[in-house]
Amino acid sequence: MGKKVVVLGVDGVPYTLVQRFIRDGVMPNLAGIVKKGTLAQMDSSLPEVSSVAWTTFATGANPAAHGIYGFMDLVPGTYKMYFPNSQNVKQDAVWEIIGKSGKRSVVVNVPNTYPAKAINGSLVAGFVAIDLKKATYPESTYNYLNSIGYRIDIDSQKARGSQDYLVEDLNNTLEKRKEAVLHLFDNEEWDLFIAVITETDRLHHFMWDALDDAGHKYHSFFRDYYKKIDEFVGIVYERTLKVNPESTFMLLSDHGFTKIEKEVYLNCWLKENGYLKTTKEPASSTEDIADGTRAFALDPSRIYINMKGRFPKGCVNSGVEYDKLRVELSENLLKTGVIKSVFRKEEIYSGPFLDMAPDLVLLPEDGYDLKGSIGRSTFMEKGILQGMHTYHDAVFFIDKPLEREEKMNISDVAGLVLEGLGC
Amino acid sequence: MREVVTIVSGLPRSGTSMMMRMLEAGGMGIVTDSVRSADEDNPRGYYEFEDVKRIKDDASWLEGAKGKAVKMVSMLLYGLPQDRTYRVIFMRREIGEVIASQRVMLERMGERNIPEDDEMGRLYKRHLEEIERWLEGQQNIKVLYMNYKDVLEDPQGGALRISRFLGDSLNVEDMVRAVDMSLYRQRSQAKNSNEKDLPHAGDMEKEDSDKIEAQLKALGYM
Repeated sequence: MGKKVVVLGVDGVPYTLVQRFIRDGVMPNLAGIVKKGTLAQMDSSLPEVSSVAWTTFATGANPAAHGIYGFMDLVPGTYKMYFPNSQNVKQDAVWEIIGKSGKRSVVVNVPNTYPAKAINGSLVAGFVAIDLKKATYPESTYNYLNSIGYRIDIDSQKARGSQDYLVEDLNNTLEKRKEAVLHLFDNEEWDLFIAVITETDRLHHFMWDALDDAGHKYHSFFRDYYKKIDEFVGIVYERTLKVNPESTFMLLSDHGFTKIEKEVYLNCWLKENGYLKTTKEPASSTEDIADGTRAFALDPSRIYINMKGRFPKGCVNSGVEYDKLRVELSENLLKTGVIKSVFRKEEIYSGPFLDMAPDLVLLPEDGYDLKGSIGRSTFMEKGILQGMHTYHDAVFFIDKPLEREEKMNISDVAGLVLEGLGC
Repeated sequence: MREVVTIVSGLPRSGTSMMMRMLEAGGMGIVTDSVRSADEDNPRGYYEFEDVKRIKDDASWLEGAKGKAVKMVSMLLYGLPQDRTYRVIFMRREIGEVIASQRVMLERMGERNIPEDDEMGRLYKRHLEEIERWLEGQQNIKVLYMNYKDVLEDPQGGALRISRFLGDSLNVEDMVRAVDMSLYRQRSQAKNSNEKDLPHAGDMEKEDSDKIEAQLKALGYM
């Protein structure tokens, strides 16, 4: 029997929370499993959002090589926004790489794999998949998922209005996810099995405050939800060993999470400081950017210099003017007290699609959730969401010894997957 | 050179918009209108000028195009008045790529009566032979042939050749920046969509973008 690899993704689960829940007895199965290998804190992608991070996981490449910089991007040479999808990914994912040598994969719910591409195996796309049929390959998998009432994601729009609804939706979606994952695990042929649980990320976005507030209506629900996750991890691990005791089992998240103190609207700051001008107030999109704009932001932390030759209303010359503006912006942003680091694109990215990259990428202080919305008139405010992503606190586990001098980065995982498969 | 009109020409989808973008970035004035705006097929815009289509009937706009560049598909070059001098940058691109790129664009526009590739290929090949022969005989037209793929692979070399052809008046560095590698993906995308089973390619974005936007907003993005 050939080597097999199982990767279980838990979206947005922090390493520090896993450690805490292991210590507190909330995750007894994981407590036992991690003794058999290496549990590590891992850095995410920049920006630390799921579409970028999971694409980085899947390809082992950085955004300038795989081409995904965020949930939304700009049509080159315009201010028009589009939503990158699987067809915008410019590097092969691990399941495509191994598919070329005849190995089969089952891939369930990995973000940014929509619409589903044909692979050697089965693929069920994850967030932001809209239509289950388009999200699934092959049709037999769609027929099965449709028959069980599979849910791609919770209804976040409804969840904003009702925590009771959110709780019910989180439970229902997780149950369907588990059912589908275990069915495909048992009934499909595969060498590589990847499944991602997205519900943890949704729980955190809407209810992070329930984690430490014993008086919160859903404090127990939060912990109990992790018990369900732990139970599922235990089942998948057990079945992995049954398939082949020599299999490699990994668990990872795409980023960490922490409490939101304030949402920070970067375009508001850029406007207040004279870098951004819009044709109307409030602006409704980046297409409302006006002449004289020197910089603007896209979600969550991407700053673009409005350069001549790159954008239609570009006014910043390449060379000295561009470099000076980046330095000036970096210094001024760091003075706001909510930005921990500012990266120039060439510091963090390399590859053929560097020209699509934001010119600066920001890393906030914990608690300050960066936003790119262009229509806001307030620099900082507190909204309905309770949790925000973090870069430095993703989790990674492999049931093998893993000796590394440097901290793990999510881009390292694809290599370990291929290694586990003997590729 | 100020009296000369520069024409960027070639088959449709042969890289003429990219060449216009390079010239504009290099500091050359361009003649265009906003009738056809940027889209997925030419994300940085088409640089078209509607009046060129009527050049046989009215070429008066050429006076305002002196010292500037204008885009004109090669079929229209025959209409250039003989009493002026022109520099023509003629874009060459492998005909199979041209057809693949046109097909993607036409399909996206909802065009149903698309000729077969073989037929289009034969027509284009014959046209190119004729127009190049015709250009050779025009005393008032100087021609620089540029290969689309070569420009993408060596933007520096391409920009230098163009700048020299136009009297060394352009900023080569900025021209190089304007070359967008991502546009060359059109070829591989078209190829992939034929070779691979991409079951749900097409207008997914238009259909689903509102729903995607709503989902993202609900989670605090945008």
